[in-house]
Amino acid sequence: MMKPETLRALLIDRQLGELPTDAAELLDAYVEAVPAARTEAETAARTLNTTRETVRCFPELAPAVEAETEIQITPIFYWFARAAALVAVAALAGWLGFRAGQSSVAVNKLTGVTKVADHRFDGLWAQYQVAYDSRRGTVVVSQEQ
Amino acid sequence: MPDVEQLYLECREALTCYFLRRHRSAQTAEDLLQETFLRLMRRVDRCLAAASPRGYLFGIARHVSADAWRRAQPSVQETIEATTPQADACLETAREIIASLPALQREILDLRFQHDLSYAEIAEALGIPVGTVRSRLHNALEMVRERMEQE
Repeated sequence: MMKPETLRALLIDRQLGELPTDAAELLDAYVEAVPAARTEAETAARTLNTTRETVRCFPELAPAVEAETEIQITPIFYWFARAAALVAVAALAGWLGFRAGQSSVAVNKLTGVTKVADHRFDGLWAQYQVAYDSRRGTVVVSQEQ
Repeated sequence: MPDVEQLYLECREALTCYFLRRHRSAQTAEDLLQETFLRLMRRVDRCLAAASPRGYLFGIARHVSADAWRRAQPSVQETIEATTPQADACLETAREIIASLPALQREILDLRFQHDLSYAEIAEALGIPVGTVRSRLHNALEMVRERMEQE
């Protein structure tokens, strides 16, 4: 069974002649086969007729002034908009990168982690990395992966 | 310009009707029709290259109509009052619903049911996507249907 809202939308498109022929034929067959769909089709036809008649009877319903101010998107405007968006993204990325760099320097200063000279490649500690954490007062030894 | 002539012959009547509905004066409608085709001649290539030249022409007509309104009444406040004296209850209900819709939606209904423009032509005329035309139209019809079922 088709969802009622889908069926209603299709019926309106069908009755307004906006459905492709093959889709219209399929829908007609469905309406023929399903009694509930037939009722929906009748309701849709009634709604369309009432709306059509109302619009024709009451010309004052047609908006007299321009409905909405729309932005006319010209090709030049479109390319400017794209270029501006690109610049904005690049600027944002640059700023975020700068901030990240600054904060990592600040964190390093705060934690006071002092790396000792790296002698990993020339002795017993070659596979270890040793660092002194001044805040905790401990030496951190981590093994090379 | 055989294509423009053809377009003129095809759309003259529909456009006159369009202007008459909005301005209620045969003389104004005639003037605005001329103005529409004058504007069309300035961008005839764009019109003939458009997906729907008829829709494009209605788009120009819409601007011409709006400009005429602005010239006539610079600070016009749009009010919708019933000018047709009597109509049956069903139409009156539908009128109330349609009157409460936004202007763009009412314009879509007008272009569809009064001027018989297709979805694609309405989209071209109003400069909006076809999907928007379809959804706004369906939404309006759904409101009319619900109200009719209630009564």
